[in-house]
Amino acid sequence: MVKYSGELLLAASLGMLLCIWLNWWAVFPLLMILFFVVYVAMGAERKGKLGPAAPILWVMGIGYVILFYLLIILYKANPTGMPKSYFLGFPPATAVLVYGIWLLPLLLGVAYALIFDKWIIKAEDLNRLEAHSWKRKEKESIGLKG
Amino acid sequence: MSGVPIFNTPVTLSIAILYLLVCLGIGVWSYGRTKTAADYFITGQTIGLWVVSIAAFSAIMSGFGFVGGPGLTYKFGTSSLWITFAQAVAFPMAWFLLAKRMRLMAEVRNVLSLPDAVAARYRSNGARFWMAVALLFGVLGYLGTQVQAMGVVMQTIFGIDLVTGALIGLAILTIYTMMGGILAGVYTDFFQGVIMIFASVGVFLWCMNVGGGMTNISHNVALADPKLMGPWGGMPIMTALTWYFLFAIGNAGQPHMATKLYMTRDIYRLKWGGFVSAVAYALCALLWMSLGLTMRSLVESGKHAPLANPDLTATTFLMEYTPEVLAGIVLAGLMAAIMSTGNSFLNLGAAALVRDIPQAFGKKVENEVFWARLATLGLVVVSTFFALYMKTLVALLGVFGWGTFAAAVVPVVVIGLNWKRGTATAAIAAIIIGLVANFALEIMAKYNVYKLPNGAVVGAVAVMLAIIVYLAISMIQKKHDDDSDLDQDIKEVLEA
Repeated sequence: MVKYSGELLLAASLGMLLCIWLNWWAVFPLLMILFFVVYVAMGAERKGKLGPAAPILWVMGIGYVILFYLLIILYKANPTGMPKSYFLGFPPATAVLVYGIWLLPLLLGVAYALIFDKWIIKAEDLNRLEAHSWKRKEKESIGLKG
Repeated sequence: MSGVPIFNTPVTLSIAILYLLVCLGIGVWSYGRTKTAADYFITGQTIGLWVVSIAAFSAIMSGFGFVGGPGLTYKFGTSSLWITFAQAVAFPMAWFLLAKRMRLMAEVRNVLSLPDAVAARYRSNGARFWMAVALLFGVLGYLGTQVQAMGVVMQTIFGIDLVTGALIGLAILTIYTMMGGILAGVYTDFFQGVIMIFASVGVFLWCMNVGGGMTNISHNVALADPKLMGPWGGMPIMTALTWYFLFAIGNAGQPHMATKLYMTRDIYRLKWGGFVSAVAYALCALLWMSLGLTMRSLVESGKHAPLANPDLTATTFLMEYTPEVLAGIVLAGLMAAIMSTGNSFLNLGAAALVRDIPQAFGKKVENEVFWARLATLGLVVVSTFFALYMKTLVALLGVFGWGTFAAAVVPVVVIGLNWKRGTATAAIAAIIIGLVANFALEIMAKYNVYKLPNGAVVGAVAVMLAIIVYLAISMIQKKHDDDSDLDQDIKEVLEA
């Protein structure tokens, strides 16, 4: 997935445009979720690997698909009538929006923090950057001139 | 503006004046600490987790979230919640994609603005120039709308006329921004963000109390039209979905958010930042959701007359249903939302004028801090003129502000810092396409020449087009694994 992230984002973007013009609103979420997962994968990737970010992306992708299509199924069951029941204050499909699609993605922020030290940034990254830093080279050249 | 409720009671006035004095105090405190351009534009990289996270969220939450958002919810039910709910995933995504790269970029280069990062990434002054132009367009539009909103809020609190209100509010914003640059900005953002959170949670609890609980509110709104309480609300389904897409991926593309990632003391402070920002924003979204639905519930149950203008939802509810202290805090929160966003834009605009555009032509401005302060003043004057005398232009620019930034920044910076195949030509083409698509589609829709099908949002389509152009041109120009056009330090940033 990481190697072809550009191609996947391109395909997802083209697909979403097509859905807009054809009003394929039930397909649109699938392509949007593909976009989100590949988008985050680009940020989580290190040298072509996803490491501990891989399970996070699986959960994110599958979780989103379940939530969106549960919302659509519940919506289709009663698209325009009065709600027959309420779940924690909202009609069922809206409850999926509020408690699922809104609040569950907050866990992605927790996931980022949990893999931060062992995957997102490592001490050796900072050492390598220091060695190639233009800032450091500029400072050194100023020092030499002085 | 007629019909605006006036709140000038001793309690609300005291809270508002205290709030404004604290903002000025932070400006004075920051003045002595702002000596270099790095201090003025990126705080000299001195801030910690809580300040950067809350400042990032409060920059994103503009006055629209406190006035326009509840107004949309009042009118269309749940539709606009897709905008505000998107931020729960948007902040963590922005952290995955940008936090590390932006902070590392500041580690290896003297980057103070987004166009600085673009120039370093693409080794292109052309890309730097076009990014600065896109930012200036967005900044002028957003500033214009903030000036107008400021006038209404000051009128609401102090009972003065709109122009005088806008000028007083702007004077305070200008003073603390000119004195303390972004250092004053992030500390006032932090203070303002905390006020917004308290205000939002307070209003949410009050709404539940007045409305008789969420189930009762939902039921009353559904009686008017069941669609309003359905998952898509009263607007087309495609509007809700394209809003969600635009606001989820566009967050990382907002320069006033992205540049905050340069500012932490060290990279490790970013660890919990995405989560903190997302939770802080979610707490503020409670106001957006509850206020509009509660007011509509009161109207539908016959307890309140229908509102003449949905934008009066928040002020009407505050005046008639909340205690003065809470109303005062929310109004201070509203001023806070406007000022925190305005300050960020002044800073971005000043950087574009004093640093990015001259450097795109190979010129370096001496004494950047002095000129940045002058540019800040100039931007305030120009945007005030626009806001007061060119309202149609401001309305247009304001509408596509988020989309303009997203279309320019998402492909070029967010994807570009995570994908080595991106090229300078593709970056310039994407920025231009994003700008043109936003402008053209908004203007055509406004004058009924052409509207996007099925309720799709212009900004979302413009972002998709810009991403497609960026990816397609890059793929044509560059093969897999070719990173020969990257400087070694930038390559390390992209690979870390």
